[in-house]
Amino acid sequence: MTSRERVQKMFRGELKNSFAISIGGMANDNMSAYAYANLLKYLGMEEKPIKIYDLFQFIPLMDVEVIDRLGGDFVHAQRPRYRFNLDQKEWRPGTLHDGTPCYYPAEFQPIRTEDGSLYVEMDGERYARMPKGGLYFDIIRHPLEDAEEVEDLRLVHPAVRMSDEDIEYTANQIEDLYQNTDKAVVLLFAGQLIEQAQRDFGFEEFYCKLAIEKELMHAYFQMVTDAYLHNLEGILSRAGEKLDVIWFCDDIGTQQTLQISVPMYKEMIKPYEKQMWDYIHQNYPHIRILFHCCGAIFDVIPELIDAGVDLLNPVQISAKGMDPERLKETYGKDIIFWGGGTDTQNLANLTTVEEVEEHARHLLEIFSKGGNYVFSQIHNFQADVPPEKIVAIFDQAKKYREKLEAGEV
Amino acid sequence: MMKLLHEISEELELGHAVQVKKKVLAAIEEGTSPDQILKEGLLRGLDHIGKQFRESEVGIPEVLLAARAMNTGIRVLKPFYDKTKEPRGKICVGTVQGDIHDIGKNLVKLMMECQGFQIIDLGNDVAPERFVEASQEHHCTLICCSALLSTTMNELKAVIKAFEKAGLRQQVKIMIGGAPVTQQFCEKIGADCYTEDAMEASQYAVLYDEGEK
Repeated sequence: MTSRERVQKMFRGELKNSFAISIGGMANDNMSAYAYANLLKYLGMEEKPIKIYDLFQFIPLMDVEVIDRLGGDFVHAQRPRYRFNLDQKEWRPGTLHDGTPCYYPAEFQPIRTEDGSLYVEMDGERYARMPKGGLYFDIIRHPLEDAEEVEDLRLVHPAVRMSDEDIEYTANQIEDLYQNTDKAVVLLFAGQLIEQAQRDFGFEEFYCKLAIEKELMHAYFQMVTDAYLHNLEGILSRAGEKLDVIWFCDDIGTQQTLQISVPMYKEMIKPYEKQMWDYIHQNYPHIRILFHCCGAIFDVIPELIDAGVDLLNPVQISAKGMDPERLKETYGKDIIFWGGGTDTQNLANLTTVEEVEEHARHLLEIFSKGGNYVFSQIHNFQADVPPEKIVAIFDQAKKYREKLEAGEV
Repeated sequence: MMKLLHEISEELELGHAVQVKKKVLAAIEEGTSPDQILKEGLLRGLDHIGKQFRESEVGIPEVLLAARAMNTGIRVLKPFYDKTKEPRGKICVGTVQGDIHDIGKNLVKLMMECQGFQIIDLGNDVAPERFVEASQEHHCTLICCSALLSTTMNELKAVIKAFEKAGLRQQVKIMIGGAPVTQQFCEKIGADCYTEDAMEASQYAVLYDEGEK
């Protein structure tokens, strides 16, 4: 059984004594470029290029051979202007902070200032900043910060609506992965409403407007949704038959609670997600909606299911109320959990490989019960996670799956 | 009087900044002490909304609107407050080096200002040595540092090291906080205090100021 066959079987509800595995199959079960560089060395695969496609999370395109070595069943395609509206059809050589050779999108030409900070410019203005010694860029300019009227929304970020050329490029990537791998194919689509609005309006402005400028925010969300639907129609009409999963993401949770209340989610966000997810389910019923949402989201999961989510990631078990057994018992019949396999937030506290293996095995027992599960760690491994821990986690998952399939557990 | 304080609290919960301003002024007019307006009006409202947030009954939008209303209330109250009360001490606050997230830090600052502290806001991406310099420059003995990322939380330790290096560790109390930070981490790096949220941070600062910590 190939990876793709396994995944499709699971989606049809026919995979009861097994589960799928994902590492580098989408943008939240990957790892920092630094951790990846160490992993390549550890696996003796130093010749593999480190292409940093997600400049915000600083994560690489994971090589199919590496995915295969770790047991991953998924690969992903993504739009060419994935971050900061920078085209990544072409790559240029560069280095990580520690001098490790890597590749960046050719258009990524950050400016270093006297204080050691790096800036990314967009439309001739500074848009994101990485402070000296930092590992991540943060957005510092919000084009809709002062928007008051619906008319002001015309300034909305251009990357939301894809060009025909970019749509074509994305569809070709899907085709390529479909033809040249036996993995299930994920499209990194994102389709963000909340996070796009946070970037466009700024965090505080966005949240306040959500409560007091509802008409403006409805107009904004509809505008963004229309652009996303345009992008989806373009990509899926060309390559929809070759796709298995579309990845969406938006953070509704915090470590302790929800960012917005359930009634506000239902009123302000859900209708727009539903438009996108209904479109996909109605026209491409074989495709599953994967939704990435960190944090303490237990109470909003029924609404997400109702809106059309089929797979939920990252299953942040360290957040309040996200007990693995309670999650599986309450929602396991209605949704496939993708994640929850290793608590990366507390990984540093597990000092030996044996402790890491035991931790993963315990979570595998809970989440793989009755099938319907995609094993992955909870969110991307950070820069300092050693490769032996990463390999141990995924070797444990493969071993557990073999036992499960053989009826030994 | 109690009715007005109750209304201030309710309007604050609803994020009605204009109403908060009007009612705070009306309470002053009635002769209510600024301290009472702060504690039984404004802070009570903020406390209520904080509890609702923890229970997921409301979200960040409602909390931010309440915080804005709080800010308005404090601005109105401050001139009257200054006349009646000795200000508390100074506190240096900042987000550690390599980290430019400051929403949490700003909430802590606001809550501490409400308690009458003078805040030396060092901003974000603050080098460990800068905390030391600022504490000497402003004669601050309470240092409050925040880190949002698991990759920058080790900078909290660097702040402690910088005070040790300067021979000033025993003269200051170092408070830490931020999403990935825990009590366990606080103990591990030898910080003096971890607080879970802005309210708790300001309460610790008051106890420290009153010599109870």
